[in-house]
Amino acid sequence: MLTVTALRKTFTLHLLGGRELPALVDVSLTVGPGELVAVLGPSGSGKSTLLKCLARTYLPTGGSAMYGAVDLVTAPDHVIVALRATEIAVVSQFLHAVPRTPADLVVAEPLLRNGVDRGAARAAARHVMDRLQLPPALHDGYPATFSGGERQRVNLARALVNRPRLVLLDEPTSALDPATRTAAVGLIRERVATGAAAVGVFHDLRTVEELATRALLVDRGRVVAEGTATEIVSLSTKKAVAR
Amino acid sequence: MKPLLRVRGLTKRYGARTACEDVSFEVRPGEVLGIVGESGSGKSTVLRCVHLDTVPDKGSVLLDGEELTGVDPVRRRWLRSFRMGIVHQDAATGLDLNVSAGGNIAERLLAADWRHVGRIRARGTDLLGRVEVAVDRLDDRAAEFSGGMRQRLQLARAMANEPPLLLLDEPTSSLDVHVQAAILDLVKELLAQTGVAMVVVSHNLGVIRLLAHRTLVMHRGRVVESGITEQVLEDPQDAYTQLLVASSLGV
Repeated sequence: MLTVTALRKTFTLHLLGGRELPALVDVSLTVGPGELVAVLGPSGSGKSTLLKCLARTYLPTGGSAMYGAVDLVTAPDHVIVALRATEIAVVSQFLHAVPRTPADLVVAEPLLRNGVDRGAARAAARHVMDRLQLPPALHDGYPATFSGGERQRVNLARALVNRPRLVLLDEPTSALDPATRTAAVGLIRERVATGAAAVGVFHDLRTVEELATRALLVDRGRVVAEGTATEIVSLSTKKAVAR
Repeated sequence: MKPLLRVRGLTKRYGARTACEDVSFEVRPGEVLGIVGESGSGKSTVLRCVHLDTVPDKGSVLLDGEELTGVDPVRRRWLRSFRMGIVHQDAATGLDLNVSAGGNIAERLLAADWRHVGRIRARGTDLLGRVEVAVDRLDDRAAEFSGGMRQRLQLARAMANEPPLLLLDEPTSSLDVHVQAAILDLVKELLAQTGVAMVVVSHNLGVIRLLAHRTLVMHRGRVVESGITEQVLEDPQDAYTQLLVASSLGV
């Protein structure tokens, strides 16, 4: 479903005299339906940059990322906007909370945008929030006032409510306690099992082992190893010790 | 989807000063395009050209395939009644403050050949409801409205004839923060309900982040960058945009 080839990203910092920062040097990967590929690597290795390039939150410098027939690197902006409104979901670590919009509407928005009626969209939103153990008392509360873990679950609920085909997960469980983390893992696993493709960066290795069907190790913007979650987790631990 | 609005090579000069030069963009139905830039960057001039307040020196403005530059006054009036609505930063520009809320809305309906007083009042009441203004304010003069209420009234007026295009020129810049949030909320709600296309001009990156799907950055009359809003804010390419984003508080 997604084939990434030789993806490259260099930041040019004009405020620092045009200094160039290579963040991704050469990243290739494929993800099919029903697969979750975890990306591991030390901080600063390019994991988040990779996800942001696939979401076009960052503009890649080179390479390609074929999502079906669409190259996410070069597709016109309006095509990316439309895909992100319908089939590509991005779960960032932090929620940009819309002021004065209650949680259930924040979560329901992707459905409303796609023409689902208000009642049904709100009900679906509440159902996903229940799955993520967000207490009903918070459903009509304002996310701007929520804790980090609560916001993260609102974010995840919003991303998964309309059953996206491609899910990009950037540390989606970093602020969750053990019980809600387990709930989040369950929901993500269910979406992948029903045919979504996912690429994820996770802050803890346990989540990687529970969710990933395959894993990559990146270092300084390059893929240095590929294998099963267990293999790559063990390799990344050894590398961390070697450092 | 086919673009609703297609602007090509728009250039406007005032004497020796170039207000905007070679500006091009497209807006599709249901899409919100943001235009950011500081005062004097030319962003409001672009909006004025689209709204037919001023005639560009060069370039083309196509709305649903119809060329808008150089239309006669009768057609211009029709286009501004049925095909587009505008919300100005300064409510006094968009409203007659000495006239009632209902009167301000009725003016648009009369332009659209509504003649039946009862129906005009009913439509005014309906529109006030949609912008969340208490309907018992229908007969109050706009001058008695607060800043936020005036912006709501401008929105009601702009939508009176259900145009496919809304132009918002710094719609919340003169408002207190909490009123700003309420107005932005309302705009988002109207967007979800009506699928109208919007062009939002603002110097406030927070407003742009909340409303716009795609964003153009203008500097000294030219478009220096365009992209999906998140990318423009998180990975700006142009030196000026990098400075603009780095200088903004919390977006």
